Amino acid sequence: MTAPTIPGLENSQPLREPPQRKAKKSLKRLFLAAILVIPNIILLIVFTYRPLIDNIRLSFYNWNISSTRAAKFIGFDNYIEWATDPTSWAIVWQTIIFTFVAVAGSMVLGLGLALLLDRNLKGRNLVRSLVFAPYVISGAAIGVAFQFVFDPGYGLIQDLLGRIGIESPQFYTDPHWALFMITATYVWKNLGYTFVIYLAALQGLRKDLDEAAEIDRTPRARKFFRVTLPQLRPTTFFLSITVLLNSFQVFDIINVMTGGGPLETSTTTMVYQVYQETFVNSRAGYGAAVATIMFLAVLVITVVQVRMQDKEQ
Amino acid sequence: MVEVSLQHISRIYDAGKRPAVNRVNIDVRDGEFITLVGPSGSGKSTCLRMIAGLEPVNEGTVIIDGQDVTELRPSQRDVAMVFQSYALYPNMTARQNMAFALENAGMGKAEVNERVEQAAEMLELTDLLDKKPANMSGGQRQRVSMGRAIVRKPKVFLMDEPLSNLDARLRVSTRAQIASLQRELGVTTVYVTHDQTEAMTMGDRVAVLKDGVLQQVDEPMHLYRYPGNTFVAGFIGSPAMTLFEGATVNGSEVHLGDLCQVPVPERVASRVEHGVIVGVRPEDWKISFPGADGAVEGLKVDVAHIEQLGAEAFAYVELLDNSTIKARGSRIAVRLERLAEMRAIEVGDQIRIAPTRVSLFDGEQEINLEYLHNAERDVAVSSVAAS
Repeated sequence: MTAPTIPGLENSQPLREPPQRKAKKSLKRLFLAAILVIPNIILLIVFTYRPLIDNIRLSFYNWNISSTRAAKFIGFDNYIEWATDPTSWAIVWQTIIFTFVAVAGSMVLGLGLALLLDRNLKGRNLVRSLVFAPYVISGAAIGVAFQFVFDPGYGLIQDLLGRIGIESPQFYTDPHWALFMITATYVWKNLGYTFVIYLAALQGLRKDLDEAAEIDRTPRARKFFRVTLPQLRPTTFFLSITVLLNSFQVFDIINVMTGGGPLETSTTTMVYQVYQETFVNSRAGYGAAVATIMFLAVLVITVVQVRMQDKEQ
Repeated sequence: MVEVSLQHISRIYDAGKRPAVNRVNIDVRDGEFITLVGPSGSGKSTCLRMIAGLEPVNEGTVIIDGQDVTELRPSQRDVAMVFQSYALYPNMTARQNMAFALENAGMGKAEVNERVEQAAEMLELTDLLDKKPANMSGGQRQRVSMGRAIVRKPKVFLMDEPLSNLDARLRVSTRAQIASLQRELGVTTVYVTHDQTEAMTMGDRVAVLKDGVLQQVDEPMHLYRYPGNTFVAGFIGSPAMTLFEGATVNGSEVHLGDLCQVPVPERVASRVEHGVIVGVRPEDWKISFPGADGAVEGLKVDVAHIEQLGAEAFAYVELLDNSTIKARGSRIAVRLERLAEMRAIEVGDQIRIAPTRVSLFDGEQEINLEYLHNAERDVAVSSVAAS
């Protein structure tokens, strides 16, 4: 029998070195990792990074998309032209308004609908599917359909307004109403997305907090703002990034409904401007410059948002 | 004066199945600390949630402070609850968590502050007031959730296993704190736990539930000494009371096997019938060693296992194969108190054990004979139910 002892006082024997992991094994793992990652990297390089760099290069040229030989290096001229043209700034402003209203609108309405439908109602699943459906319909189809809704001559809205004796706004000729129409249509389409994500988040809410709030005699509005909404914060962050990036790039609805007009550019956003300059006005270099500016803007916004989220946690 | 009265309350989830809570009847006195204890699925938490109003009452009546609250919402009942998960609002600091309910009631800032500070002092939370739950330890969160209940000065405290997420040491110290805090505040309290030690040590009275049915409500020591039925006998006390079947009954004399006479309490002697179940607690055995002079009395058993706890030890012994009696759970727990006993007994030894005190249960209903034929009973009993 050994003498009693406590840790630290025993006659310890020198520790043996742990066996080294064989280098061969780690090489094998590296090889496996490479096989799994490489296809994706190739796709990214070919279809994302290469065009991105090409686009930046192109923004320093004057080119009419015909022969590559016609391209002429002009330095920052495209950027200078963009910055000094009042139309570009009007378009930036329209993009900001459109994006902000689209993000806020679809998130607030999506959350509202999710709250409304997060309970046991008859036909609940049918209603949920109906709300989600617009999101999977193509934007072009929605654009066409909503032309019938907004048409001041025979559209649905004009008919409804007419019944209460109000004359329909000129959605296609008034610049402000045109932008409103585009935004409303986009919010309607995007609602399904924010709704579904919020609904999932609501179903994952902690039930005990709800009960604690009930026992604490919390009024409804206060419960929503102090107990429910804070729990949805990660979802709200996620949605604000994804919806913002999506609405920044909206194209199909504008193209089908207004073609960027009225008055040439009243509903033109930056993405649509890129398309117009490149493929309609045949000014690929200028279009590329606008695209690069957009890219930088999105980059900054995303970095700021992610930073904010990290800080939160 | 706040009394809580549960009158035959039932919770029926599914009409085809056994109710989760089945006609439970408990009267909680003013200022009393009552613990609801039972294995998981016994309906104790459901019972508590019915008092809180978080669970509908399908049958029966809940009365708080003389008012029928059966149909009232939780917010209208003036109860405070400590949840098993603590249910602290994660986006708020400890101070905000505790102040939340008071602000909801429209209380002035100064008074809210005063109450929060006072509760914080009582619970030694003052340094934590501006921390959020995510930055606290389990014990600290538990105290904040207690604080949230205390500041309310509610009619009733409801606690749903508030200690089950703490480590063993903290659980022991906290349970004493909660019990003395409750006595200081004098607020009627209903406390749910699955841990019979907690139930025994904290409660003025203990209510034992099984399968949604109330088994017994009594003061801890009386409950321990006079368990109402075999379920309570097995559930309260650790290690559990051993229950023997197959005892031979001769008039009012009861024998376990040939050489072991059971000391039948005088009060119940007239009620002993064939098929009686004999219950013996681990500390109620007298041990003797074969070969020692005159040691021929008692059950002959093999020592199968020994648990050393330092101050005491438990021997788990088995009846010999040819025994005419049967022990439920097969092993019999025997407490060894004296160092001499602990040293003398080793696994594999054969010893004799004889009961010094027993509980006797009716063979069919499994109810303690003390409570049967209760016209002549001489012990105070609040409630006993058949299992």
